[in-house]
Amino acid sequence: MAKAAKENRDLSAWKKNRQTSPFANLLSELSKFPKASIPAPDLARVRNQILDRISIPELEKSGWLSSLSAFVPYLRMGAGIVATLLIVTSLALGTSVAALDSSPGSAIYPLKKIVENIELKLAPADKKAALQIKFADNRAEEVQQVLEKNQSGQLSNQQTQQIIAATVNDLQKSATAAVTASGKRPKTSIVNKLTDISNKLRAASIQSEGQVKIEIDKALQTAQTQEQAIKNLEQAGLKVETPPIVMDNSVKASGKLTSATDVSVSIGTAKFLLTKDTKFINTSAKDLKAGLLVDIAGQIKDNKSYATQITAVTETNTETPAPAANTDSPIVK
Amino acid sequence: MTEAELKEILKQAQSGDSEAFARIYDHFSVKVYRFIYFRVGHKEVAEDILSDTFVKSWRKINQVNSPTALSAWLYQIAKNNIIDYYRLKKETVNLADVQDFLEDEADPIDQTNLGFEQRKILQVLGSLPEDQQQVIKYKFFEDLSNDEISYIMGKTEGTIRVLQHRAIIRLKELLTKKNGD
Repeated sequence: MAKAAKENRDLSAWKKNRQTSPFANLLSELSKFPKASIPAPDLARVRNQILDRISIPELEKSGWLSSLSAFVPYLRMGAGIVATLLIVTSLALGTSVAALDSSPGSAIYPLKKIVENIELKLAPADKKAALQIKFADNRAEEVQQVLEKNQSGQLSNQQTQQIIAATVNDLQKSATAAVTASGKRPKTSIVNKLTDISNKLRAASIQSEGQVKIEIDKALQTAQTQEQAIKNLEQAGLKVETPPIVMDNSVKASGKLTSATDVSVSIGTAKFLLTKDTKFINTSAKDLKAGLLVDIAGQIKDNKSYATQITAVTETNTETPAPAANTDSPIVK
Repeated sequence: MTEAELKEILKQAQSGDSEAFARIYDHFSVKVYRFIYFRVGHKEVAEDILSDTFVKSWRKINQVNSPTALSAWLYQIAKNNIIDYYRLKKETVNLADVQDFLEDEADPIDQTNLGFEQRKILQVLGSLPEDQQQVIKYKFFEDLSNDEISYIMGKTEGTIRVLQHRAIIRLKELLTKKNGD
């Protein structure tokens, strides 16, 4: 009878029976309780997020790593370190280690961004906010390093301006993503770190002028706005709506090719695999050779970088080829 | 989706086909989202828990033996994720008390459109033992099957049927008594 009531079938036979009629009426009423309407979820966004998350291969299932299953909890905790080690061993050791300390403008800087990207992908959800704020802090440090290089004459004003603009753009993304990722449970540590970043940027702003100063002030404003946003969030409790977190796998690099084969091209240690969908602008696959100045746009998938578009840059357009290589942070806009 | 189709898709997902798994998500996401939403009362939080639920289920998909157990199994993972959410939110709360601590719970019933008899049912429902109340709420307010309820409550399906039977008998007695007053 309960099943029939749930399926809105005819209960009249039970209702006519003197013994079963009270139960039939009760079940009928229970089945007709008006249901509350709920806010429609963004199921497509969640679907994409899930597919993105499950596309990362699980370390503990791959080959020889399976023998380390007893250490899975530790592997999870140190996923970032493990990923970094894998990259370090898969590339030339010296340059990879150096990349982690590199500053924007150096040829090996893209590797640092790729390592960060992978570290973020492998981090548990509750650690992402802390990582993003660490990356924002890295960018603030790099702004200072670039300004020092400019003052010592290692970088021209034009190069400095380009590099600072790209670094500030990354800093803004990371700072915003950190606040978004910590949205449900804002932490004092994030606010404190944002204050640190603001102080570093203030110091950098004082040392700079012109377009560079404008760019640094933009970053400063973002850090201060996010700091205020997180405080507002704490005051408002959990009901404040936060924008969805969208993982961005895009990666960019610019500079002279250091090697080119039928299947891949490299700028320094940043290697991009060629696919049948790779587009070539002002050049073709067979014309790619070491020394060619290019802009490469790519996507990171399964911890590998795939070139989606390679644009040859003519020397006349850029007197001093910008060695700046920039990897967009895999974060929310 | 028929049981045969679901069986085939489950088999594909278990062999590592993420597109097949996406079809499982398409099929169950709305129901699982509703279940989560009623327990956390917040759209974005419910979406995050939904995402975690399916990511965890992908990693353990080989544990599912049959397509009929799939939805109940998903509810069980969702329930564990909801408990984790409250445990993280209230770090000082004893883990054993977490299940009784759903402070952001949303009401699955539209209270403004209740009928006269339905209001009386709600009034007496609170007098039932906790597990009987839960079964009635899951079964009639959230449209869950006995199989799903058994996974969520960690009891056998037979126990759920017994609880439901006793709850209805008791509700009927309480309503008769109330109408007689």
